[in-house]
Amino acid sequence: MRFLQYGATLVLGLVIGFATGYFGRLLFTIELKKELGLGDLLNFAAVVIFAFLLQNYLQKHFSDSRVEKDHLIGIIGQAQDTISQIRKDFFDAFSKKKLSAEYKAAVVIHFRNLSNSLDLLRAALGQCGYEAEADKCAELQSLYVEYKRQITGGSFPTGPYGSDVLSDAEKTANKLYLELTNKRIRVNKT
Amino acid sequence: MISVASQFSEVPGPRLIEEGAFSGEAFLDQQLRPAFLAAESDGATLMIDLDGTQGYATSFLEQAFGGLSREFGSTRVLKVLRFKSDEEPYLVEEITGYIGGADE
Repeated sequence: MRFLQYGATLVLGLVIGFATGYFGRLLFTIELKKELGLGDLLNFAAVVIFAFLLQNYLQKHFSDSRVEKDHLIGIIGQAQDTISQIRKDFFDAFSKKKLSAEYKAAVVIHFRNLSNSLDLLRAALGQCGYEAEADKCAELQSLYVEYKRQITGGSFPTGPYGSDVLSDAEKTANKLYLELTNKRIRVNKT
Repeated sequence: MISVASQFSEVPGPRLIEEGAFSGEAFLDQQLRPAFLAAESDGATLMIDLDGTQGYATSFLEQAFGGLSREFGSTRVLKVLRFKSDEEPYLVEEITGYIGGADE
Protein backbone atom coordinates (compact mmCIF):
# COMPACT_ATOMS: atom_id res chain seq x y z
CA MET A 1 0.00 0.00 0.00
CA ARG A 2 2.82 2.36 0.95
CA PHE A 3 4.69 1.38 -2.25
CA LEU A 4 1.61 2.31 -4.30
CA GLN A 5 1.40 5.66 -2.53
CA TYR A 6 5.06 6.42 -3.21
CA GLY A 7 4.67 5.30 -6.81
CA ALA A 8 1.60 7.44 -7.34
CA THR A 9 3.34 10.45 -5.81
CA LEU A 10 6.38 9.94 -8.04
CA VAL A 11 4.28 9.61 -11.19
CA LEU A 12 2.27 12.69 -10.28
CA GLY A 13 5.48 14.63 -9.68
CA LEU A 14 6.89 13.56 -13.07
CA VAL A 15 3.68 14.50 -14.87
CA ILE A 16 3.60 17.94 -13.24
CA GLY A 17 7.29 18.41 -13.96
CA PHE A 18 6.97 17.51 -17.69
CA ALA A 19 3.81 19.58 -18.07
CA THR A 20 5.48 22.60 -16.49
CA GLY A 21 8.52 22.17 -18.71
CA TYR A 22 6.46 21.74 -21.89
CA PHE A 23 4.07 24.65 -21.34
CA GLY A 24 6.83 26.79 -19.92
CA ARG A 25 8.83 26.30 -23.12
CA LEU A 26 5.80 27.33 -25.18
CA LEU A 27 5.24 30.51 -23.17
CA PHE A 28 8.80 31.63 -22.56
CA THR A 29 12.01 31.50 -24.51
CA ILE A 30 15.11 32.67 -22.75
CA GLU A 31 18.43 33.00 -24.51
CA LEU A 32 21.04 31.35 -22.25
CA LYS A 33 24.77 31.70 -22.42
CA LYS A 34 26.47 28.48 -23.53
CA GLU A 35 29.40 29.00 -21.23
CA LEU A 36 30.01 28.49 -17.55
CA GLY A 37 32.04 31.07 -15.68
CA LEU A 38 33.84 30.87 -12.30
CA GLY A 39 31.15 33.12 -10.79
CA ASP A 40 28.47 30.63 -11.90
CA LEU A 41 30.35 27.73 -10.27
CA LEU A 42 30.87 29.67 -7.02
CA ASN A 43 27.22 30.66 -6.99
CA PHE A 44 26.16 27.05 -7.47
CA ALA A 45 28.54 25.83 -4.73
CA ALA A 46 27.25 28.47 -2.32
CA VAL A 47 23.63 27.43 -2.97
CA VAL A 48 24.43 23.75 -2.42
CA ILE A 49 26.41 24.41 0.79
CA PHE A 50 23.73 26.73 2.15
CA ALA A 51 20.96 24.23 1.34
CA PHE A 52 22.95 21.47 3.05
CA LEU A 53 23.62 23.54 6.19
CA LEU A 54 20.05 24.82 6.38
CA GLN A 55 18.62 21.34 5.98
CA ASN A 56 20.90 19.98 8.74
CA TYR A 57 20.06 22.84 11.09
CA LEU A 58 16.30 22.51 10.58
CA GLN A 59 16.41 18.73 10.92
CA LYS A 60 18.36 18.97 14.19
CA HIS A 61 16.14 21.72 15.55
CA PHE A 62 12.91 19.85 14.84
CA SER A 63 14.46 16.59 16.01
CA ASP A 64 15.55 18.18 19.34
CA SER A 65 12.12 19.72 19.79
CA ARG A 66 10.44 16.36 19.19
CA VAL A 67 12.80 14.59 21.66
CA GLU A 68 11.99 17.17 24.35
CA LYS A 69 8.26 16.86 23.78
CA ASP A 70 8.44 13.07 23.89
CA HIS A 71 10.42 13.28 27.16
CA LEU A 72 7.82 15.56 28.76
CA ILE A 73 4.95 13.43 27.48
CA GLY A 74 6.69 10.37 28.93
CA ILE A 75 6.89 11.96 32.39
CA ILE A 76 3.20 12.92 32.19
CA GLY A 77 2.38 9.34 31.22
CA GLN A 78 4.31 8.03 34.25
CA ALA A 79 2.33 10.32 36.57
CA GLN A 80 -0.97 9.22 35.04
CA ASP A 81 -0.01 5.54 35.36
CA THR A 82 0.69 6.10 39.06
CA ILE A 83 -2.71 7.77 39.54
CA SER A 84 -4.35 4.78 37.85
CA GLN A 85 -2.48 2.44 40.20
CA ILE A 86 -3.55 4.41 43.28
CA ARG A 87 -7.18 4.33 42.11
CA LYS A 88 -7.02 0.59 41.53
CA ASP A 89 -5.49 -0.15 44.95
CA PHE A 90 -7.83 2.29 46.67
CA PHE A 91 -10.95 0.70 45.09
CA ASP A 92 -9.70 -2.67 46.21
CA ALA A 93 -9.21 -1.49 49.81
CA PHE A 94 -12.54 0.34 49.78
CA SER A 95 -14.48 -2.66 48.55
CA LYS A 96 -12.80 -4.99 51.08
CA LYS A 97 -13.57 -2.42 53.85
CA LYS A 98 -10.10 -3.10 55.21
CA LEU A 99 -6.73 -1.38 54.90
CA SER A 100 -4.06 -4.07 54.98
CA ALA A 101 -0.44 -3.39 55.88
CA GLU A 102 0.48 -4.17 52.26
CA TYR A 103 -2.02 -1.64 50.96
CA LYS A 104 -0.78 1.01 53.38
CA ALA A 105 2.85 0.50 52.33
CA ALA A 106 1.98 0.40 48.62
CA VAL A 107 -0.21 3.49 48.56
CA VAL A 108 2.37 5.60 50.42
CA ILE A 109 5.03 4.53 47.92
CA HIS A 110 2.69 5.32 45.00
CA PHE A 111 2.16 8.82 46.35
CA ARG A 112 5.91 9.28 46.68
CA ASN A 113 6.32 8.23 43.03
CA LEU A 114 3.55 10.59 41.98
CA SER A 115 5.12 13.46 43.92
CA ASN A 116 8.47 12.84 42.27
CA SER A 117 6.93 12.62 38.80
CA LEU A 118 5.20 15.98 39.27
CA ASP A 119 8.41 17.50 40.60
CA LEU A 120 10.37 16.11 37.67
CA LEU A 121 7.73 17.42 35.26
CA ARG A 122 7.99 20.92 36.72
CA ALA A 123 11.79 20.89 36.37
CA ALA A 124 11.75 19.37 32.88
CA LEU A 125 9.18 21.88 31.58
CA GLY A 126 11.44 24.70 32.70
CA GLN A 127 14.54 23.11 31.15
CA CYS A 128 12.77 22.54 27.82
CA GLY A 129 11.64 26.14 27.57
CA TYR A 130 8.02 25.70 28.66
CA GLU A 131 8.27 28.20 31.52
CA ALA A 132 4.58 29.13 31.43
CA GLU A 133 3.61 25.46 31.77
CA ALA A 134 6.18 24.99 34.56
CA ASP A 135 4.58 27.89 36.46
CA LYS A 136 1.16 26.22 36.16
CA CYS A 137 2.48 23.09 37.92
CA ALA A 138 1.54 24.61 41.29
CA GLU A 139 -2.07 23.66 40.48
CA LEU A 140 -1.01 20.05 39.88
CA GLN A 141 0.85 19.95 43.18
CA SER A 142 -2.14 21.38 45.06
CA LEU A 143 -4.30 18.62 43.60
CA TYR A 144 -1.63 16.08 44.59
CA VAL A 145 -1.63 17.26 48.24
CA GLU A 146 -5.42 17.21 48.29
CA TYR A 147 -5.55 13.69 46.79
CA LYS A 148 -2.93 12.40 49.23
CA ARG A 149 -4.81 13.96 52.15
CA GLN A 150 -8.05 12.27 51.06
CA ILE A 151 -6.45 8.83 50.74
CA THR A 152 -3.85 8.91 53.57
CA GLY A 153 -5.24 11.56 55.91
CA GLY A 154 -7.89 11.17 58.58
CA SER A 155 -7.53 7.88 60.40
CA PHE A 156 -5.42 6.22 57.71
CA PRO A 157 -4.45 3.42 57.85
CA THR A 158 -6.58 2.15 60.71
CA GLY A 159 -10.15 2.88 59.71
CA PRO A 160 -11.90 1.60 56.57
CA TYR A 161 -12.77 4.20 53.95
CA GLY A 162 -16.24 5.74 53.96
CA SER A 163 -18.21 6.41 50.79
CA ASP A 164 -17.56 10.14 51.19
CA VAL A 165 -13.83 9.42 50.80
CA LEU A 166 -14.53 7.46 47.63
CA SER A 167 -16.48 10.34 46.15
CA ASP A 168 -13.98 13.06 47.08
CA ALA A 169 -10.93 11.03 46.09
CA GLU A 170 -12.39 10.15 42.69
CA LYS A 171 -13.21 13.77 41.93
CA THR A 172 -9.69 14.86 42.80
CA ALA A 173 -8.08 12.00 40.87
CA ASN A 174 -10.17 12.92 37.82
CA LYS A 175 -9.15 16.58 38.05
CA LEU A 176 -5.48 15.67 38.40
CA TYR A 177 -5.60 13.19 35.52
CA LEU A 178 -7.43 15.66 33.28
CA GLU A 179 -5.03 18.47 34.11
CA LEU A 180 -2.12 16.22 33.13
CA THR A 181 -3.87 15.30 29.88
CA ASN A 182 -4.39 18.97 29.06
CA LYS A 183 -0.74 19.65 29.75
CA ARG A 184 0.26 16.78 27.44
CA ILE A 185 -1.89 18.22 24.65
CA ARG A 186 -0.53 21.75 25.12
CA VAL A 187 3.08 20.53 25.09
CA ASN A 188 2.52 18.46 21.96
CA LYS A 189 0.80 21.30 20.10
CA THR A 190 3.42 24.01 20.67
CA MET B 1 19.39 16.48 63.80
CA ILE B 2 16.62 13.90 63.80
CA SER B 3 16.75 11.09 61.26
CA VAL B 4 13.22 9.70 61.17
CA ALA B 5 14.37 6.39 59.64
CA SER B 6 17.19 5.62 62.07
CA GLN B 7 15.89 7.26 65.25
CA PHE B 8 12.16 6.55 64.98
CA SER B 9 11.03 4.16 62.27
CA GLU B 10 11.55 3.24 58.64
CA VAL B 11 7.79 2.72 58.45
CA PRO B 12 6.07 5.80 59.89
CA GLY B 13 2.64 4.79 61.07
CA PRO B 14 -0.81 6.29 61.66
CA ARG B 15 -1.92 9.52 63.25
CA LEU B 16 -2.49 8.65 66.91
CA ILE B 17 -0.77 6.36 69.42
CA GLU B 18 -4.02 4.44 69.97
CA GLU B 19 -4.20 3.69 66.24
CA GLY B 20 -0.94 1.83 65.98
CA ALA B 21 2.83 1.78 66.28
CA PHE B 22 5.17 4.57 65.14
CA SER B 23 2.41 7.15 64.99
CA GLY B 24 2.77 10.84 64.30
CA GLU B 25 1.67 11.52 67.87
CA ALA B 26 4.44 9.25 69.22
CA PHE B 27 7.02 10.93 66.98
CA LEU B 28 5.92 14.34 68.23
CA ASP B 29 6.00 13.30 71.88
CA GLN B 30 9.21 11.23 71.84
CA GLN B 31 11.41 13.01 69.31
CA LEU B 32 10.14 16.16 67.69
CA ARG B 33 8.91 18.25 70.60
CA PRO B 34 11.91 17.66 72.91
CA ALA B 35 14.41 18.29 70.10
CA PHE B 36 12.54 21.39 68.95
CA LEU B 37 12.55 22.91 72.44
CA ALA B 38 16.22 22.05 72.94
CA ALA B 39 17.22 23.62 69.62
CA GLU B 40 15.11 26.70 70.27
CA SER B 41 16.61 27.29 73.70
CA ASP B 42 20.13 26.95 72.23
CA GLY B 43 19.25 29.39 69.47
CA ALA B 44 19.98 26.65 66.94
CA THR B 45 18.10 25.07 64.06
CA LEU B 46 16.87 21.49 64.02
CA MET B 47 17.42 19.43 60.87
CA ILE B 48 14.82 16.75 60.18
CA ASP B 49 16.13 14.06 57.82
CA LEU B 50 13.11 12.55 56.10
CA ASP B 51 15.00 10.09 53.88
CA GLY B 52 15.26 6.35 54.35
CA THR B 53 11.64 5.56 55.16
CA GLN B 54 8.99 3.85 53.08
CA GLY B 55 7.07 7.10 52.86
CA TYR B 56 4.79 9.32 54.90
CA ALA B 57 1.01 9.37 55.11
CA THR B 58 -0.68 12.73 55.48
CA SER B 59 -2.12 11.55 58.81
CA PHE B 60 1.39 11.08 60.24
CA LEU B 61 2.80 14.35 58.88
CA GLU B 62 -0.17 16.42 59.89
CA GLN B 63 -0.22 15.02 63.43
CA ALA B 64 3.53 15.44 63.96
CA PHE B 65 4.33 18.74 62.27
CA GLY B 66 0.88 20.27 62.27
CA GLY B 67 0.63 19.27 65.93
CA LEU B 68 3.93 21.00 66.76
CA SER B 69 2.73 24.12 64.96
CA ARG B 70 -0.64 24.11 66.80
CA GLU B 71 1.26 23.96 70.08
CA PHE B 72 3.96 26.55 69.43
CA GLY B 73 2.79 28.54 66.40
CA SER B 74 3.99 28.27 62.82
CA THR B 75 6.41 31.20 63.04
CA ARG B 76 8.36 29.68 65.93
CA VAL B 77 8.37 26.25 64.32
CA LEU B 78 9.50 27.44 60.88
CA LYS B 79 12.24 29.49 62.47
CA VAL B 80 13.82 26.39 64.02
CA LEU B 81 13.03 23.44 61.74
CA ARG B 82 14.99 22.62 58.60
CA PHE B 83 14.30 19.63 56.36
CA LYS B 84 16.27 17.22 54.24
CA SER B 85 14.35 15.12 51.71
CA ASP B 86 16.42 13.97 48.75
CA GLU B 87 14.16 11.00 48.02
CA GLU B 88 11.00 13.09 47.78
CA PRO B 89 11.84 16.79 47.33
CA TYR B 90 8.26 18.04 47.34
CA LEU B 91 7.73 16.56 50.84
CA VAL B 92 9.37 19.66 52.35
CA GLU B 93 6.79 21.97 50.74
CA GLU B 94 4.02 19.63 51.81
CA ILE B 95 5.16 19.66 55.47
CA THR B 96 5.62 23.43 55.39
CA GLY B 97 2.02 23.62 54.23
CA TYR B 98 0.84 21.57 57.21
CA ILE B 99 2.85 23.76 59.59
CA GLY B 100 1.40 26.94 58.10
CA GLY B 101 -2.09 25.45 57.85
CA ALA B 102 -2.17 24.67 61.58
CA ASP B 103 -2.54 28.39 62.32
CA GLU B 104 -5.88 28.52 60.44
